[in-house]
Amino acid sequence: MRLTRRAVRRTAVAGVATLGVGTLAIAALHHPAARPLLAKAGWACPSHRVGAAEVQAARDYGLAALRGTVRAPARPALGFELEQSAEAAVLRWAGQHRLRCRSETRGLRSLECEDVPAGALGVPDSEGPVDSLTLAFDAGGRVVAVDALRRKLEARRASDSLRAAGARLAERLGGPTETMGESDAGYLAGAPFRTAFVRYRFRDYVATVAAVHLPEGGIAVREQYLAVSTAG
Amino acid sequence: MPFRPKALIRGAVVLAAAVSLIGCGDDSPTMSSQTLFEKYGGAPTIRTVVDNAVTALVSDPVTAPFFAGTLATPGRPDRLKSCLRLQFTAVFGGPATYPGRNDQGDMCADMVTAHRGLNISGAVFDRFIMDVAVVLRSAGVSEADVNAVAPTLVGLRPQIVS
Repeated sequence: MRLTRRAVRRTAVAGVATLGVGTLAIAALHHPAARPLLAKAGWACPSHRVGAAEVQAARDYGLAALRGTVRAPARPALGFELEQSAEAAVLRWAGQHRLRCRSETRGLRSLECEDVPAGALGVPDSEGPVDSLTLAFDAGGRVVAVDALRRKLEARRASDSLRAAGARLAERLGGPTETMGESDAGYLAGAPFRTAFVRYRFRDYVATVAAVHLPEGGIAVREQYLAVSTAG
Repeated sequence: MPFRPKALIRGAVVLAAAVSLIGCGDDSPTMSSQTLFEKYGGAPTIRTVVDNAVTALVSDPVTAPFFAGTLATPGRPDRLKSCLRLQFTAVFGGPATYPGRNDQGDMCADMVTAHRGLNISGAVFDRFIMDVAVVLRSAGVSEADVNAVAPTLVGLRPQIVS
């Protein structure tokens, strides 16, 4: 009886230890640095397993509702040419500016760069660096989306950033399709979740510039420039 | 992603607090007994908000991959939207609890289960919150009422970000 109890205890301890080591191993493999190993083993994260065609189909589904009816007179995108700029050229640009970037494939390939100086995007340095710049590429390796996020801004800087981006779009495109909230610093600082944005909807292009007062993260300003494919 | 009961409890407390505050908007004549769900016209407005939120999220190459698998599976887009309608109905103080059964009779997963293994970053979550804020304002939800419901959504961060 005593022997059996000991055996049971040993088995239980071994089981718990195995479970613990296994859990630690799984946790370690989910660390960003270890994810490529998981992917090679065929256990990629669900959003990494998705195919380019699926992501493009999802985007087409969304853009069909978001797009406008007339062609854009221009498609400004922080110096990039939508559906023209090639991934190789973008990588060269990132190298020239010594940017810290990371390529990723979640269906579509993308490049995410951190702390991008405004000057690298062709806008005055006074607008301050972009915390997170994401460029997405279509299956042919051309830029189809540019997304610039500035986070944790003080109200004055957020207001300046929102106004500058809005003015750049207005200069090329005229009045926005949709606008909401106020761009002044006092308004944005006034309460959490204060939101101001302008949006342009064209048949082949959608641009949105938005500022949102996030309760724990200051004010975030996001510029989003999307190509809408008119093929097919 | 590990199971985090504390995060769940914290989310539930935030949800309860936010729901209890619904109707306290300072720029609206909302009666204390009226929920935001009723104030904004109920199910049709929730449907618009969810449709527009999904449109924004899947148009964006940053967030689209997290939904692409769902949208590519027959029947799943409707189920996704139905579960989001259930969740937004609950957030707006309407006749729903989340997780629970959606208007198609399917059980919607809790936030931890629904986002397990997706590796959603803080920057992606911030973009999601910004999209939702824009969608709510576009749908005519007042600043004060966005301020009332948004903390509930922000409170989901520990359950979604990994």
